[in-house]
Order: sequence, then C-alpha cells, then structure tokens
Amino acid sequence: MSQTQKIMEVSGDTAIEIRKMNKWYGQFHVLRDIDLTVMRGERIVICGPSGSGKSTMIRCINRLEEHQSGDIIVDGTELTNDLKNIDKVRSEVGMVFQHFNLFPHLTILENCTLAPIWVRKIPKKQAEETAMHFLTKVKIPDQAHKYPGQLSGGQQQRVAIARSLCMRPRIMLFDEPTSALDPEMIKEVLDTMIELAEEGMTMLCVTHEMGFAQAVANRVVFMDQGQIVEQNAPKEFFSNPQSERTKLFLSQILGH
Amino acid sequence: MAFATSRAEASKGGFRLSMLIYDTRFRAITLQVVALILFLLFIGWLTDNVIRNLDAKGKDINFGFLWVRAGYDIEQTLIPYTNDDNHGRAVIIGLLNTLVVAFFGCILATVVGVIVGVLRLSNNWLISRLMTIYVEIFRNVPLLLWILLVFVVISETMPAPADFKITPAILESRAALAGLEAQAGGNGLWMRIATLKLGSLPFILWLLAFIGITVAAWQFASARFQGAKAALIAAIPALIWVIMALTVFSPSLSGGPAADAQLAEIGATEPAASKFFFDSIAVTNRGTNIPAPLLDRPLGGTEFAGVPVNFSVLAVIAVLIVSLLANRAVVKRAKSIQESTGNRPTTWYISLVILFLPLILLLLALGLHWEVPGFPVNDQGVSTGFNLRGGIQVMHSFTALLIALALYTSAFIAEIVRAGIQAIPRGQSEAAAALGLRPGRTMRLVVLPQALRVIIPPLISQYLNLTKNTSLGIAVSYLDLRGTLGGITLNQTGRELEAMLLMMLIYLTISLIISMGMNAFNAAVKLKER
Amino acid sequence: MSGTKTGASGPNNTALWLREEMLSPLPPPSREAGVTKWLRQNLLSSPVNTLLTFAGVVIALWMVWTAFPWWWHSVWNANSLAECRAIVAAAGGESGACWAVIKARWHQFIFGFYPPAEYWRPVLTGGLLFAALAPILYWNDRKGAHMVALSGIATLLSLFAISAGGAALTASLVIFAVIWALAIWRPKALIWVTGLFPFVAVWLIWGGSFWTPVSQLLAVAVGALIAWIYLKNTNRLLNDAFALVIALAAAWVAAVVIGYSDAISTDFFGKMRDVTFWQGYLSGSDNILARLFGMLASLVAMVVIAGIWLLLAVMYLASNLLNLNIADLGALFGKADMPAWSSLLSLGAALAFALVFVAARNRATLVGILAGILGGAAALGYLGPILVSALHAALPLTIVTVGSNMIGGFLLALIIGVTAIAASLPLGIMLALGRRSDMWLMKVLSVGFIEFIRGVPLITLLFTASLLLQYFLPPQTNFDLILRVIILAALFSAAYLAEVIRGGLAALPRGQYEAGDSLGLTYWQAQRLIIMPQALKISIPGIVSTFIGLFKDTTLVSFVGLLDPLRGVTNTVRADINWKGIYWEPYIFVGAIFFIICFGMSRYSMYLERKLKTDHR
Repeated sequence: MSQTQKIMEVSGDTAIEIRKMNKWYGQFHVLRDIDLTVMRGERIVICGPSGSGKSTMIRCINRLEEHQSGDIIVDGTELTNDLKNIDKVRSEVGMVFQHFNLFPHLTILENCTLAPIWVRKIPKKQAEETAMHFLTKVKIPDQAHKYPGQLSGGQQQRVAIARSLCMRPRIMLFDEPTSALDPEMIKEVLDTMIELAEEGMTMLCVTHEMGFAQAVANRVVFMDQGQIVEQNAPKEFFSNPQSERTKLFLSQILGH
Repeated sequence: MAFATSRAEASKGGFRLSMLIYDTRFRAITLQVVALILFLLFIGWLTDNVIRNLDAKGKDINFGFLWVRAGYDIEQTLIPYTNDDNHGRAVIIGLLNTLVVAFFGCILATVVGVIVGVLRLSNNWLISRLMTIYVEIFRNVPLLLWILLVFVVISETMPAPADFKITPAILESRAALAGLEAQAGGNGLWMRIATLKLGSLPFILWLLAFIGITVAAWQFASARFQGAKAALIAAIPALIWVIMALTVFSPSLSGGPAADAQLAEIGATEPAASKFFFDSIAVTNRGTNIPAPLLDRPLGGTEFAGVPVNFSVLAVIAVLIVSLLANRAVVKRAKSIQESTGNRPTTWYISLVILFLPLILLLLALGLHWEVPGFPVNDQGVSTGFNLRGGIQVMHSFTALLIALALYTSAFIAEIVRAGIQAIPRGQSEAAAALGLRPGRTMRLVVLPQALRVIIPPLISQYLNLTKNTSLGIAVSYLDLRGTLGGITLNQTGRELEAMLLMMLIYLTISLIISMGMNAFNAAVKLKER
Repeated sequence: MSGTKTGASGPNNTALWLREEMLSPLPPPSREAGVTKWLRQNLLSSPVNTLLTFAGVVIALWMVWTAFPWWWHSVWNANSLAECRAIVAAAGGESGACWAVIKARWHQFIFGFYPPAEYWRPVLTGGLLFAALAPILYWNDRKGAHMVALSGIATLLSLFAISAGGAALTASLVIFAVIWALAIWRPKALIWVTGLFPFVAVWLIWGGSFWTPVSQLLAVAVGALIAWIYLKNTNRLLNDAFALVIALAAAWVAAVVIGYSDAISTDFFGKMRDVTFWQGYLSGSDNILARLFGMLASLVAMVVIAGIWLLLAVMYLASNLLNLNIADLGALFGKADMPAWSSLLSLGAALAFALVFVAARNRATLVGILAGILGGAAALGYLGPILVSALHAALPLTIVTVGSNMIGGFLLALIIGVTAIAASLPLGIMLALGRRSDMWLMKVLSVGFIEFIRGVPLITLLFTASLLLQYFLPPQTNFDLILRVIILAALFSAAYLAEVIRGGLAALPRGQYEAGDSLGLTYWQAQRLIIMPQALKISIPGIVSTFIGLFKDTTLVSFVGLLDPLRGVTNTVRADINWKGIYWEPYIFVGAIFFIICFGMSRYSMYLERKLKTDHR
C-alpha cells in the first residue's frame, strides 16, 4: 500500500486515502476496487482513455458522486452519508472543472467571495482582499469587476482556480482543466497550475497534458475500464510503460 | 474598393432613373417611399370607407354616449355603481372587474404553476408523472371548455341555499339521537374502535396517509437519531394520526353505539349541505358565500372623484408598507453585520414579528371580526328565511373564470418554471457544491438568480395572456370590460365603432404597460457578455 | 487484490505499481438493484419524497375511486337523460356516464347542421387534405404514397361509417386510386394535388357549380402563363412590348389611386367637422373622474385622428405644392370628373410608368408575379362569369349549396384551424422578416402590426370581423362570416408566429447570413435557401404551439354566432328537453377530441425536432 513513500518532496502524512472503492451507474460497474493513497504535498496526474472512470473517481473524492462500497478518507475525514463530513471535506477540497462553471450572474470578484462569505463566514472586506490576492496571483486582478461572459476561456479557467483557492483548500482537484481551451490559452492555465504546484499544494489532476505531467507530477496514475492499471513516477511512466494498455494509450496520445 | 468603383461609375454617368431600383443607395429609399405611399393610401381608403359607411347609416363618431345613463345592473362591482350611473362608469366597473379577475388569476396561476413545475422536476417517479398528466390535460384542451365546465359543474351540482337550513325535522332527529346515546351510556373509546368503517374510501385514504407519514417520520428520525429515540420520534405523528382517525371515522360524530339501522330510522341530524372551511364558506348553486370582514371601530371614509375612499383600508395599507420598509431595514442590517463580521444574524423571527404584529394590532384596534354567511335562526334553533344572509356572495361566473384561467395558465407556467430550472447547467450546482455550499444556499444564491432571468419574461407574457383571456368571461356572462363596453353598452347605444375602438385601446394600453415592464426587467438583468 | 507492487523489477522503478490482471465487472450489490432499489430511489428516497408519494397515491386513488363507478355504469343506448338515469339505477349504480347523448348527437358535434345526405363531402375533403399534405410532409418519398393510401382507406371506411351513397364511394375510390398511382409513379407530381386541393375543398364543402373552381383554376393558369411567358421570354422586342403594357397599366393604376386619394383628402376636411369626439369632455358631468376620463379619451382619439389627418394633409399639400400645371393629363384615363386634378397625378403616373418600365424591361421577378396576379384577376373577373355560365349551360354539374350557417362542429373548427394555419405561416414569415429588416419603414409597420394584434384579445378581433369589418370596407361589401373569421384568425396567429420565427432568426449565427451573401445569393434566395430552412427548424416547437393555440382558439368563434363544437353544439344539445341537465359527457367528449388533436400535434413536433436535429453528431 505504501509504494509512494519514497517520493522525495512528500511529507509524512496522508491527504487522501481510497480503499477498495466501487461504484455503479445502474448495472454498469464504473469504478472497480480503486486503491489510492495520496500524501500531503503530492502531485498526481491521472490519465487514461475516455470513459475509463478518471473523472468519476476524482468527483467521488468531494462527493459530487456517491460511491457504493469501500472507503474514502480525505484529510482524516471519512466520506459517509453524514452531511457534516461532506461539508468539511468540500471546504477542504477545491475543484476546477473542464467547463469552468463560473457563475455567470456574478462578477469575477463575487464569484471568488461567494463561498468564503457563506461557507467560511469571513467578513466581506476580508474575503475581497483574499480574492484580490488570488486574482493577482493568477494575473487577472484588473478583471475583478467584469462578468465571466466578458472574459476569454483561459482567463475564465484561471478565475475558476482563484475561486477555489479563496477557500484556502488543502487539496485541489482538476478535472481536465485545459481540454475546453484553445491551444494558446492552455499555456496560461498550465503556468498557473505549475506555480501552484511549486508552492506545495496537494493536487490531483485529470489531464492529457503530458508535458505538464512530466514537469510537475510526482506520480502518474493510468486508468482503464474503471480500474487503476499502472502507477509510476512520470519519467519511468513515459519512458518505460509496463502494461500493454498503457503502451497502447501512450502510443495513441503521443503518436501525433 | 467595389464601393469606390460603383460610386465612380455612378458619378460618371450621372443620375439615371434605373438607379432608383438597382442602385443599392437608392433602392431601399425607393422601396420605402413606395411602401409608405401604399400604406398611407390603405389607411386613407379605410378612413374613407368608414366615413362613407357612417354617412350611409346617418351616424357619426361620438364618444358622448359614455355620459349617457347606462340603465343596466352589474352584479359584481368594486366601486359603487347603480344603473343610474353613466356608461363611462359602467366601463370603468368592467375594467376593474377585468383587472380583479386577472390579478387573482395571476397569483393563483403562479402558485399552482410553480408547485407543479417544481414537482414535475422531482425525482419522485409518481409525482412527476402525475404532474405531467396535469400539464398535458390543461394545456391541450381549450380554455373555454374549462370555463364552461367549471361554471356548469358548480352551478348544477352545488346544493340549493335551502339545503343549508336546519329544519324542525333535524332538531327532532338530534333529540332522538341524544336519547339513544344516553341509553347506551356515553361514547366509549372501544365503541369508536368497534364502529370504524374499515371499508370506506375516506378511511382507506386516511390509512394510506398515516402509513406515509409514519414511514417519512421514520426515515427522518433514523437519519438523525439512533435506536429507541428514533422509534419514539417516528411514533409521534403516527399516534396523532390514530387519534384523529378515531375521532373522525367513527360512524356518528356525536358518538354512540347506535347501529346503522337505528341511525337510519332517526333520520338526518345535519342539514343536507354544510359549509366548508370551519363552517364559514357556503357554496350554493347561486354563488359562493364567503365571510365578510367587518370593523367595530372603523376610521370612516370620504369620496374622491366619485370613488369612495376607506380610511381603514388606507390605514392597513400604510401599516403594511411601513412593516415592509422596517423589514427591509432589518434585512439590510443583517447583511451589513454579515459583511463586517462574517456571521449573519438569524432574522426570520424578527421579520415575522415586524411583518405581522403591527397589522394584527391594527386590526384588533379596529375591531375586525367576520360576518359569516348563514340563515337567521329563531329561538327554537330553526333556520328562517329563503337565502343565506351576511357575508359576501361571490358570483359563480367570477369563480369559474378565476379557477379555469388559473388552472389553464398554471399548466403553461409550470412548463416555464421547469424549462427555466432545467436551463441552468448541472455544472453550476456542482461547482457550488464543490465550494461547500449546501443545496438550499446553492438554490438561493446560484440557481434561482439565473433561472429567474429565464423564467420571468415568459412568465410575464403568460400574465399578459391571462389578462387578455379574461375576455372569455363572456361565456359565463361575467361583466368585465368586454361584457360592459363591448357588450351591453355597445348593444344599447349602437356605437360599435367607438366602443370597439375604445375597448381595443384599453386592452392595448394594459398590454403595453405590462410589456414595458417586461422590457425594463430584461434590460436590467441581461447577462453581460462581450 | 490483483495489483502487485513490483518495485523490485528494476532499480529505477521504485514507484511502479502494476495491475497484472484486469478486474471483470461485477453486478451491483443487491440493495442497488431490482424493485427495492427502484422503489427506494424513485418513490422513497427521502422523507419529503415519501410524503409526496403517499400524497400522490391518495389523490390518484381518490380520483379513480370517485370516477370509476361513474365510468363503469356507462350507458350507451338511451333516448334521454331520464332514461339513462333509470338504466343506471336499475343496474344498481348511484351515478353513471350517459354516453348515449354522444351516440345520439355525434353528427352534430362533428358536422353541425350540415345536411346529412352530403356528409360524404366534408369526409372526402378531409381525406384529400391528408393526400394534399403528403408531398409536403414527405417530399419525393415512398412514405407519401403510403400516406395517400392510408388516407384513402380511412376516407372509404369513414364513408362506410356514415353510410354514404354508392356514387360518393365510387368517386372517392377512383380519386384516391388516381392520386395513389401518381404518388407511386410520379411522386413529385403529387404537389399538383396539393395545388388543386384548396379549390376542390372549397367547392366540396360549400357546393355550387363544378365550373366555378374550374374557372378559378383557369384564371390561375392564365396568370401563371403570363408570368411565365414574361419571365422566360428572351426576345428583346417582345420584352419591351411587355414592359410597355405593364408600365402603362401601372401608370393607370397610379392615376386612379392618386385621384382617389386626392378625393379622400378633400373630402376628409369636411367630414372632420362631424367628428364630435370631444363632446364627451365638454358635456361631462361635475364628476371629476368623468371629466378626467373624458379628457383622456378625447386626447387619445384626437392623437389617433390627428395622425391620420396629418398623413392625408401632407399628401394633399404635396399634390398642390407640386402643381406644375401639366393640365388634364388625367383626361387620357377618362377620369375628367375627378376633383382637383393636380400635378401629383401626372407626376405620379409618369414616375410609376418610368419605374415600372425600367423594372419590367429588366424582367424583375416581382413585376412578373404582379403581372401574373393582375392578369389572373382580370381573367377571373371578366372571363370567369361568362365561362361558368356557358359551361353550366352546356353541362350542369352542380352539387347542393351549403350555407356557412349550416357548417358547425369539429368540421368548422378544422376548416378555420387548417386554413388559418396555412395562411398564417407565410404571413408570419413576412412579418418576421419585416421586423428584422434594415428598412426603417418596414420595421415600424411590422412592429406596429405585431404589437397591436398581440396586445388585444382574440375575441375583440373576432368581434371586429363580425361587427366592424363592414365599416372599413366599401359600402355594400359583404362576404362570408367564416371567411372573415378565418382572415382575422390568420392575422392573429401570424403576429404570434412572427415573434416565434424572429426568435429563430435571431438564434442563427451571423455567419449563416454572411455565407449567403458571400455565395452571391440575392436577399430572397438567401432567405429561401439558407436562412429560412434553418430558422424554421429552430422554431418548430414554437410554431407548433402557436398552431395548437390557434386550433384551441377556434372555439371562440361561437361568440360571433358560429356553431363551434364546444359552446355552439354543446349548448344546442343541452337545450334539448331530452338532454337538459347533462354536462360532463359532452364536455368530456369534445375535450377528449381537442386533447387528441393538440397532444398529437405537440408530440409530432417533438418527433420532428428530434428527426431534424442534423447539426449535432
């Protein structure tokens, strides 16, 4: 179970622990016996063909999807039907979506302060200061009073990252953050993510950006047919894939 | 480039007539001038026809008829009116009747429509199916049918006023029943249990409701408490339900062991018809009698421009406005506290007190009481007279129009609400959930503000439709604007042209006011995009 | 656990974890499957849901329990309501449905007072309607032939059901056989059936001489021929001759129209004196409200009338200001008695002549169409009556004339509904285009029309049709009430359609318009080939719900004295001494038919929407 302990930057304690987690959609077995341990400060890239259950898995981590058997323990809190636990996990875990999901009726600043004010109960002024801090960090402080519809895709995704950061999460989940973006915008988002990684944030990222994986990840997890097939340090994963499925996948994704 | 050359060519050749048709610069102007001339001619032709037709009939255009004595009665009036008043006032009475039915219709339709629309989206299989059936039935059958059906059913199936009377025979039966009960020695609990009518529909429905409430209570309790505590909490509603069942479904409400045969021999102990809602509303085949609010210490009133002004009503409205303003101040204060400290104080009970207490106090001070419709009773307790006295009689034409309009429009509103909520992508509520917002807050802060932008414009156009559809009141002889101005006044005065034009103008004005409101709303909430 | 830590496989692979054997899918745990799961998830997922479920069961049960005995004791054979009740009581029921009233009066619900011997005519028309729709719904498709065959069979069965005569049966059989053969061998030619249908339908329903529709068709053919010859002609000389004739006609029309408008405007000043609309204010009582209202009413009336007056005055002034004393050119047109001959007349006529001549020499499509219409109308007006009487004398083919007052029931609803729907679609498209037009005037006129129609209830428009239209048409003009109602209903639904289609047009990406322009298409070609097909496709749900609304609104015609199925016929039935006091049954019957038609239409639009969704995958 503890094959990841040797990764250098990783500090001692566990951030996420998933044990024998299973999920079904009706009769369809989407996630099969998932075992995954993520250490604090670790950056994990999850890849795999479409329909392999990558997104479903990370959506289980903040209970956007319900799992039917097995355990998920996030930051010491087990995800059960208990609403308090779910609230606790959700306020500790930030999530960035493929389609940004910014709230179109609120300004950028309001997007960033909504949850801190209503969930964390932070005074408005302070929440706005925090928001401006993170908006500066993702390099769009001057857009704070615009509406999401007035921003480009890349900017919107950076706002989405800032919005999650405003909750001061200890773990960040990224669900294909760049796949709805134009090529020239992918870089600006990836740069933001790399910066975040350098600060030691625990990150789980579903992505096909192999450059990002090689530059940032401690570990690459390859999934297929709802199960984890192979995990390895990025360098070995790309240079020396072990399973046939991984080789096939890599040849398709790097082939062109 | 192309423009430059064509311009050069044009200037070279000077003006040619064909340019009026084939030059892009003149073409639009030519077409519009031709269209304008044709349009003006058309209007002129219509006007000319009108003048010649009026000439032929020896008529003119004259709105003076509005100041002639109307001479007909209107049953339902909001402001005083007698048949000695002029047609102009009758028209206003009609307009007010239109607006009254439209106003209450809109409220009722919105309430029903929102409930149905939301329930249609629920993940409860049965309820969403039932709501779909409701929507499809009301949408796909003409409104006129609903109006006529409701009207005919309430006027033909409801009891005559005489059925509400307490007759000497009923008093005799009651005495006989009391005698039987005294013989058997009161009404014991076991007697009630023994005489439950187990096979009757009301009892079965009651039982089902009981099971449902118990299961729900168990689900609720078991999610929060453990073991015996949960069982106890789940049992409370069940217990209440059993007691209610025993008190309601025992064969005779006054209790007693009398067998069915004995009871039949005694005869009816109650009048053939009874009033609804705590014995206060009587629906007869002539109309619906509802309680009338009366004041012991009214503030009096005056008359302004022929319209009576009631100071008591003004006082109530003033207090309501002040309460609303005070409540807004409370909410504002709560918001500012939240902004400075982060914690929002709980205000709902303060709001409740501020909104209702002053009003209740005022009504108490004015001495509000209800005059319940009923038969006068003589000293033996026997009803006298031929009709229900007291209260307000609402005409069936109004009731039928209101119910039919509200139900018909509610089906459309339900669809609008459903579409509006479905129009918000799932990602929005997922993002809110991922940020840690609870479903209730997500609904209030994220989904509803967006859904309302989608819902409100078509909702207002449904209100507009409802208002226009009140003109179908003609089917049940409801004297609205169309019934007075476009009906009796038109027929009495023979001023078709003036009456119809005025009526269209009034309807048009109402529509334009409503759609102006809608445009202002749209402009205010439009999502900013680049 | 089939995964293995294979950290020992190499010195570099310290973090490697590899699954050696893939897991096969397992069925979900038992509480996640089957009936229990379904119940748990769909009916009992939360306390609120449980309550809702039981409330739903209670309500549904109560309704079924109340209605079922009534339904169970249905009576189908009786001559009066009293007899019905006696039968129900004999069977031991408390109440029972008396469907006997429908059985006794179904023909009135469907045909109104149409003569029973002629029922075959509306039935055949209905069948032909579907045959005529076939090429529209299934263009050049085998399904069109199936539709024709089906409607033929349905027609014949219906004819049997109403026990129509042998002649009607044979005629229908032959007609459908011919159409079906056409659909099989020349599917494209089926559109001719659609073209013929309106003429045949009017003749079949209202009756009269067979030669009337023939002469109308002939007029159409003449008009089409004129337009076709004109537009296809390549001979320069012939073209110029054509242009000259058309331009002369245009000049004549312009002269007549200008003279007439001059007459109107002169006349109008005189008439204005009689318009005593301000009287209300002046003669008003002491009542402040009455005076306020009087002021308001006369103000509005003054604004409206002053607007019209202003427009006419401008024309009048222009005609006098531009008086260049080119006297009495108008006498050429034989209108010397016209008052105040002005230069505008000569100028306008000359301008019309010149403009139309230029357009006509260039063979503008619009001119061709207008020439065709004028030619056809002339043929209909001058040749038609002569032709009809001559042919009628030679071969009197006549069917019984049926007056509009005899047409009622669902037949009436369908006549009004189908015709108004067919007429409102092109009108709605034109209005939508007008509203989006770059030309200011077109926009203003379209918006004004649309907002006016949408701002007033349909009932007032129907009353306009029955009471007011006579004022706006030349004296002694009088035409059929059904036709008047159809016109107003079509205008009403066109205004709503225009808004729906405008929504569809607005939803189209700009690129589509630009693509049309860049391909070199003219405005109308682009609209017809690129914009409209897409815009209409987007607006299908809205269009169909407008149609459904219009069809439901056909019940309102009862207020202007027509015999609609809902109020007209039902009241007639309920007024019968035998059926006095019956209400559920006729309303349920009529409501059910409306429901079937409207629900069917809405489902069809959903099907169409899915089928036409070509842009996604």
